[in-house]
Amino acid sequence: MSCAVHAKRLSYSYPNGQPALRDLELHIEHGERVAVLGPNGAGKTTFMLHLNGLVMGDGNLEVAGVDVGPKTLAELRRRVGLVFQDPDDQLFMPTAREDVAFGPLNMGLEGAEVERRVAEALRSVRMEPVADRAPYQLSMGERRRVAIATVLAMRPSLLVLDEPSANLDPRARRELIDILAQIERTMLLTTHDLPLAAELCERAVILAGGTIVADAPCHEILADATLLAAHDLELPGGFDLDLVVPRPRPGQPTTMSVPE
Amino acid sequence: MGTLCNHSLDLTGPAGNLESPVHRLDPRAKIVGLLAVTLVAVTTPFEAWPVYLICALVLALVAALAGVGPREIWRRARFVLPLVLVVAVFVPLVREGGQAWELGPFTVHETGLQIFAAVAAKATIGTIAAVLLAATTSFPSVLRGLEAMHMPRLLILIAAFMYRYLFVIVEEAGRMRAALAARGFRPRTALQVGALGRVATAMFLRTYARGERVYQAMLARGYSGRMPQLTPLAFGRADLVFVAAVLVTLVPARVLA
Repeated sequence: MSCAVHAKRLSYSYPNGQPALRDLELHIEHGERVAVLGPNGAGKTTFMLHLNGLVMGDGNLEVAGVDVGPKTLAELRRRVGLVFQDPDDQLFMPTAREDVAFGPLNMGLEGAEVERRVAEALRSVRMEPVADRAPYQLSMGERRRVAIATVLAMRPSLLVLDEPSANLDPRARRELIDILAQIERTMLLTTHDLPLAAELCERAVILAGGTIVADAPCHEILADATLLAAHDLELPGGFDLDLVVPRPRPGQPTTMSVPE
Repeated sequence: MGTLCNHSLDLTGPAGNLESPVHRLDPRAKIVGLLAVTLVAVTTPFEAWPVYLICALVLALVAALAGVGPREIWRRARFVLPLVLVVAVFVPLVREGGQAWELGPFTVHETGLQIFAAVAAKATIGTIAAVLLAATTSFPSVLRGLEAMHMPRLLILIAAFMYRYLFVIVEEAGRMRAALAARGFRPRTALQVGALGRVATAMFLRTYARGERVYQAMLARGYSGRMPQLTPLAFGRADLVFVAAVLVTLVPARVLA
């Protein structure tokens, strides 16, 4: 199954007429991990919502082999897992277990298969011990991991994360990176956390003013301080990009080269 | 962050021996059983004291089986009970009949006193029945029981989301109050409470925006208007025995009263 993203001349304006995306052009191939960088208000979250058909603009958008349109939504949402920025938006069931089961049950799965997927998803984010807790009883880092489990349980081919490291303390952030590095999926993540992008993604794009203004290997983009500064981005002071060890892909001993 | 104001909301969760036979009953059995106790107490004539006694005994037995002690019951009932009793406390002063006693500027009447005692008994029994239901059944389980008993699904959904996001909203309100206090907001006159109106507006807008985002998150995981259930409810023999025992004890007493 294809899990590529092909956006051609994608445009969208907010209901008040303010443009959010303008002729956005982005192509992502199977197996890639791409960081979408950009200042606040650049249209990152709006673009993420497009990938799940929650917002529909003009132009062509093909995601995970599905032409995004009103008729393909169910199939699209099955193939694309979207992790929202605020876990409190994503966790709405009484317990973590029921929340993780919500997606698989909506897919029409039953009993043992749902249980299996819930257990597998919670295990992959190391959150089995909190399965029966309510969301408000979890720390922010735990909520984030359960939120990721809720989409992993649907076994999407494309994983989309909006600001995954927002509001996490350093240790929760480190654990999150460890978990994401283990996930074998095409992955698209928006972030202001440039060191996180350097570790996890081999490719980065900069989204500014609703369009892609830079698209290159992650290391190259992050090394270009002028480019970053032009779009209100910067690496943390004293950060040495050359000391970053990119995470190997699961099942692969070394980093994957960037597909051309 | 999560522990800011949760202590008062924790009172809504189960208490006592969580593995007790009462806790493990199907929520529908407990709703029917405890509702029956309340209905019997409410409909019993004022003077039929043995029925109130039997209701109280049934509740005491349920509490004992569930390991919910008097302190826990009081901790929860104290929020509801005084309000109910304040309404009833004027009855002995206004309802005339029987003997009358002078009590300073007031006159207390015997009939009024009897009615007050009966109303207090009804209120106490009803409150304790509700407290026992809440202490032995999680709020989501109560809702699932009600849904299985064909309560309108929309009402159940609203209650479920209210319960889930109450915690989030209480946290948000706490943060906004802290932010006001941090900038020296200490209202002394009625004119100064205008700021609270703006806080309320901000809260409403935030809550509204969150509602939109939660709905998007539900759609993203394939929501199509129906809340799926992970494990179906099962009404077993123990549940039947519980409901039957309650009804067999109470209904004859009520009919004979």
